[in-house]
Amino acid sequence: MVFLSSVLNIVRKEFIQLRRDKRMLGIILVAPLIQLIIFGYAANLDLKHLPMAVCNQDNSQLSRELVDKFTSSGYFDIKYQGENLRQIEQAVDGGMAKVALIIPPDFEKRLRRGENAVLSLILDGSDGNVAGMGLSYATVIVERFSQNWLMRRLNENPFLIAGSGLSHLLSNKGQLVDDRTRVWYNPAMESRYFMLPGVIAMILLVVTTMLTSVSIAKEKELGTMEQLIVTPLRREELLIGKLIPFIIIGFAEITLVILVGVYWFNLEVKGSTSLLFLLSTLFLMNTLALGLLISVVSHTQQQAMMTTFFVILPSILLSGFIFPIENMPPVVRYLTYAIPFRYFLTIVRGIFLKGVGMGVLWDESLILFLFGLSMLTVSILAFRKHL
Amino acid sequence: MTTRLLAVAKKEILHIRRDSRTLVMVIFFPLLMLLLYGYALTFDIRLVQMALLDEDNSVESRQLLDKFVSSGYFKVRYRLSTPAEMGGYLDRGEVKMVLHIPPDFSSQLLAKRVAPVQIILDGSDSNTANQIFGYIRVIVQNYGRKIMMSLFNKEGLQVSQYGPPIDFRPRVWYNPELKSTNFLIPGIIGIIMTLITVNFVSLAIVRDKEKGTIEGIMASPISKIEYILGKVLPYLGISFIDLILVLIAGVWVFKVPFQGSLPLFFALSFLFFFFTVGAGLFISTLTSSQQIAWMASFLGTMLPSIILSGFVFPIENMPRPLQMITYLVPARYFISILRAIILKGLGLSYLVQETVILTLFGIVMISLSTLRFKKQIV
Amino acid sequence: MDAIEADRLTKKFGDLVAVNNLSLRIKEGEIYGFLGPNGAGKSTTIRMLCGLLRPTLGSARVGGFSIVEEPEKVKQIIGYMAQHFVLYDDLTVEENLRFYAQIYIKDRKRAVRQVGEMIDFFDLQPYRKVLARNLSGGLKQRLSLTCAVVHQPSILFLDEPTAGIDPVSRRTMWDMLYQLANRGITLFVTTHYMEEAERCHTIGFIWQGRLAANDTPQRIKESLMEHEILCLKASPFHQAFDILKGLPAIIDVNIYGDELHVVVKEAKAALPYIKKELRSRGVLLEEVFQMKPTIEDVFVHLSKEEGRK
Repeated sequence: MVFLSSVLNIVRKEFIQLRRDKRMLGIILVAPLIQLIIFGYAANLDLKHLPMAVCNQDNSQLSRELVDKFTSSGYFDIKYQGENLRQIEQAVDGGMAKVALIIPPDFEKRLRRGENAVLSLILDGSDGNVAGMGLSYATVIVERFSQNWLMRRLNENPFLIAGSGLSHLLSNKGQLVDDRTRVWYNPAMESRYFMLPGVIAMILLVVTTMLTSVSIAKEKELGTMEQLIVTPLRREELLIGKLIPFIIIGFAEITLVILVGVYWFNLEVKGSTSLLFLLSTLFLMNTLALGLLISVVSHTQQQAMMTTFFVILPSILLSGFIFPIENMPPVVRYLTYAIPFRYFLTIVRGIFLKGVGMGVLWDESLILFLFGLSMLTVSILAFRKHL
Repeated sequence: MTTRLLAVAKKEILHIRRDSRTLVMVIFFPLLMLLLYGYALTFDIRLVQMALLDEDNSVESRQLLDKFVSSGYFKVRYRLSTPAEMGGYLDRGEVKMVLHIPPDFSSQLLAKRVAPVQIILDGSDSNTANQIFGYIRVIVQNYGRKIMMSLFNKEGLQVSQYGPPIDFRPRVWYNPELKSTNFLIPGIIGIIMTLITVNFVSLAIVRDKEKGTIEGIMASPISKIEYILGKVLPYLGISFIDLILVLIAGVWVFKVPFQGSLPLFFALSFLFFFFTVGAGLFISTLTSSQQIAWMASFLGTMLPSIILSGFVFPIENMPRPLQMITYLVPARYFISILRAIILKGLGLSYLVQETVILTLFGIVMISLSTLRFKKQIV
Repeated sequence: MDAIEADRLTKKFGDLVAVNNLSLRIKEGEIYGFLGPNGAGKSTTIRMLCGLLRPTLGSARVGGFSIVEEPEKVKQIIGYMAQHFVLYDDLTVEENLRFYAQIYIKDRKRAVRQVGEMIDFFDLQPYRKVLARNLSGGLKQRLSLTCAVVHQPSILFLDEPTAGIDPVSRRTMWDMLYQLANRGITLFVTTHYMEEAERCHTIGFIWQGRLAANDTPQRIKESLMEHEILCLKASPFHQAFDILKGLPAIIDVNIYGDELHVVVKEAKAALPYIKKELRSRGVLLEEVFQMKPTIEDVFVHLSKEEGRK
């Protein structure tokens, strides 16, 4: 077929050029790995070992037990013990502690008398995530401690509830309503299982888009485009020919990146690995088409690279990679439907974490396919064969 | 000297103006980031979609449900009729949690026996899951206590003694609304500055190398210093414009309270530029291909600035080896400096360590790149 | 049928009119030289004729196809050699040729054969495996020319094919061009080397976007020059130049190396007058004779005329 041989002509030229550009090849293969390893370890939103300052003005057994509960939870590490509020304030100001617990002097006394005891917690709000999560953890810990204390009091003073028929509750930690929560997909609730598939997806997005986004712009800038467009070479032959080598390279990267994820990070693929490869390749064609489109509408390489950056970064941020889409205001949430990466994230997380298959992911796959096809079509139509 | 320098700078400015798309993007990008972070990007939970399987259908079960809904954090999206349906909704991600109230809930409660309630939580996004977990805990326990108190009441027992013993008063400093903006503006500034100075500066020089025009320049009486400065100054100018724009937007639009000293802010920003420009120059000595320069600056500076500087991911959570590496990322120091100045209003006395380190980084980078540049003919 | 017909071709870049109402006809097999100073509109014209630039107004037919309506058909039958080196410098000579050959020639075997023939024809054998970026300037031009003809087009557009290469290589290049012309290929060549114009069948002179002259070199020299030219050698050289420039009877004086070309109405009448003026100012006249105007003389004169208009 004439079309095929023409495309292959372009593919051959691209491969010759790639082979000769050793530095580029090196970067293409090594960059994703480095990114994956750094990102894989860094992308951790679990908040453990939050540095905490404690001002225990009571120093009673109960207060020390409370402090213990904080440290044994694993979420808080005591980095500083202060004697008064001023010292605590300085500790938080200076960044030594992100959380400060202040226990008043009459803590245990009041509790024993059956009265309310005040407990103060200061959170460093300059780190939004820390404060929100820290508050969550602290609330749960205090809640539990509170409940336990109540039950202990009732245990120690059984007459308080004698005859109420509630004594049996004492054996169940005093909880009348027992919330038995089961956590699916990520029982350990470690963010790495959630982040890592996303990191893999993100690296694929970044590296592959960058590959094609420069290709056409480079020929324009170097001038070789002039000789190309004076020939009868057709637009679709050129663009598809430019795409194919990167599909092959991209597939190699997909393999590399998934292998590292599974064997180095011990990530488990709960679903079908072949489906993962298939849909990753589908996404790959998406990103390459996007890069191609950027390349077609850019006049210089710098412009192509900057456009790529400015398109990719917001896409990543709005895709649900780090910040959940559910937390976004409605208008923004609707915007995110236009981001192909969002769908791939769902796919990747679905396969890695949830073990779901095409039955659940068919709509995301279809959307990705349509996105890719339309971007390729627009690239071809937007490409003009004259200066 | 100045005239030749200005000539190079003018040519560079012409080039910048011709590529108006990039210029516009560079100016508006930080504002876009601010918008995103200010209004869209947050870890704070807005609404949790849940599915309800109420097999009890009693006054009590509806009360419990009401506690969830009236907290404002939960919304019942689906009402299920059989336990078999639960998995599907979670798998498809249509709900984040399922509340399953067994048929004997109210009867157990009224018989003063432990009434279990089953909750299934989508733990994929552990951050969100943890927060939801916290809310669930509090809501359910509150409800349980309320029931218990009414039971006590009926028995005529002293109720007040069984209220929550601890009066928990958390306070959030610096950022009462817990909005991420304030926290992230310093980070955004850091990233934009890095992007403009490292990337653009390296590309500006490598572009000349790739096109071959650098030969003509090196053959002319222009000294290398004049050439470098001429190339760098326009981009420094743009960086500062961006810096000011971000500050203005942050303070006026997002009401970020700028606590600290403005001159100190600019002085230390300039210090940071010292480093980033050096990095850009260094990269330009490594290659003659724009594509490679771009990838190198992206991988070598942008990425670490975003990931390893503490901007999004807290450094304390990283494994030790990675934490060690972050000490090599200048953006890390810059961001803590910015945070200290903007959010906490701290002065130089608190920032001595970071300032010194940044200066060292800057000197090393500039020296390295100058040495390499001098050695190269082209 | 004419190989190339341009009809009121015009190209505007914003307010700048690069090519202004240009019309010409070039016959098959002709070598057409397109001359003009830098910035006159040569490259713009050639790019329009190749289908690389869309004209603002007017149109042209190349090989029977309209550049406005059917540019892709035009591209099938033409060859183009750009002013700068626009081939792939990270590909070898052979790889470049094969690539372009296979764009035009769909049959692989035939393409390979054709590449082999072209390499022989243009003496590129020793450089087959050399990366294009490692070629000398002259060889790069030769490669560009080879790529332009590898598919045996009937019409060839060459934008300053001899720019920046040494005179020997220039001669070689023109020898090759003549060989191509002998095979019946129509050549449209732009150049700013005036003496190359003499080698063309027809030359067109473009000045600030307008076609100022369009005829055979002979007729141009004859019809456009109402004046005659004296070739003069004198010393001190610059003093002679200044003196002659100041004389009212002298129409124009131009420096050509160590010669002065003096444009006068009538050589016979001017000669004694010049001799007298120079001698009286102490300038030694070494040599003087009447010469036939070269193309360069004509065009310099034409440029000044056009400039005055």
